[in-house]
Amino acid sequence: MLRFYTLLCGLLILGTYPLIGQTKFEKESRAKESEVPDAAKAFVSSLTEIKNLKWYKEISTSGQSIEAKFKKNKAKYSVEFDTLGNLEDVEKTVDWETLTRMQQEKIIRGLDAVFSKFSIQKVQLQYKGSLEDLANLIQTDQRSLKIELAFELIVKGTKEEKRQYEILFLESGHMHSINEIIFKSADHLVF
Amino acid sequence: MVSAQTSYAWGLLPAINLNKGFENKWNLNFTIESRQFVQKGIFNQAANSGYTYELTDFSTVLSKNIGLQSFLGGGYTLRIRDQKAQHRSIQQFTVVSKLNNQRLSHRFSSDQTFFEDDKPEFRARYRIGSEIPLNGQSADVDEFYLKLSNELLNSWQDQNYDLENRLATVIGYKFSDTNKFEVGLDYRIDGFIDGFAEHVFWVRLNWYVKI
Repeated sequence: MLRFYTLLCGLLILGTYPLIGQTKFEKESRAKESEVPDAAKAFVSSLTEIKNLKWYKEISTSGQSIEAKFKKNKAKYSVEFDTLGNLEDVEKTVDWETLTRMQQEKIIRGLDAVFSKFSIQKVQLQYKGSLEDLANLIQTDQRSLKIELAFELIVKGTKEEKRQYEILFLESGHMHSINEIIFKSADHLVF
Repeated sequence: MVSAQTSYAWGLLPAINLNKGFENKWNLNFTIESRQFVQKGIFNQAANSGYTYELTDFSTVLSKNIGLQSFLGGGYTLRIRDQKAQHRSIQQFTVVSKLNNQRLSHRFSSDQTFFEDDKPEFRARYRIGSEIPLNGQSADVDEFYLKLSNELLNSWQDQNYDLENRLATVIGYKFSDTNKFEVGLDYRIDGFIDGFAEHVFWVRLNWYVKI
């Protein structure tokens, strides 16, 4: 029996080849204050009554970015900057029920067109606009008409089989992008 | 009158864990794990043994990802102890989910061990585990993570029942998406139901490789 296992072990090692699959490089880690561009720090320090501020740096196939995550009035915000400190967008995590009936209907219509079955796991409102307008939005929770709104969703959806996706819907209801979420290996949690 | 004795032991528990993915979400796991006691004794008494090699387990589990992150598997362990072989069949179901920054796992398993010179042992187990990133919101390459787990093992052998608890805390480092190393402590207690508790402290060394 021992010989069988030695042989099996050898075969497994000799049979090594890279697994074929979608590989999306993404690495996110905590950033020190010193790594955060001054413009990004200045924007966040202009906000009042924010709690649990944490800075992250993210490296992905689309480049590098710096992210500030914090809470304000119990809502979770994530503000993304490029490496020079230019603000890219603001995201606020909300409950699905807080979306208007019309917004919900547009999104559901879009999801129905893609999936035979789905469930929405997470909803984030994504805002793009000027520094001033976005700062004002975070401070007052009032959106100026100049701010672009989009919806970033995490969805469990079934096409041929069940997968998890990150989907961006524009305010018009147009599905702007859909990316499958690739799970990290969980071998150390299974065995 | 029999007075309860509480024994202890500590040792090393190195394990190599090889995983190979196949088409249609099948995965084959092969683990070699060895137990080596550094010291054994009774609490409040002098240690009564030094280094002893205990056993080696050779396990294979074939599993299938049947959902987003749920795995159903079955396998077999060959245990070599005192020059004798023990044979164990294994069934397990694991669900992994994300909870804020952590990954949480629930593992339900059962096994049946067959001995050359003893009655078979049947166990029903439940393990809850959590991977907590120590840098950022997920454990990425070149980063450390903390892994906490607790497992309850119900055991039946002949007419006897025992309950064992295993609490483990390890620090892991992710060299790549397919290569992780963990080191930490695994505290196990059993025999406490009948008053003869045995405490075992293992230093765990786990190497996980996906090939």
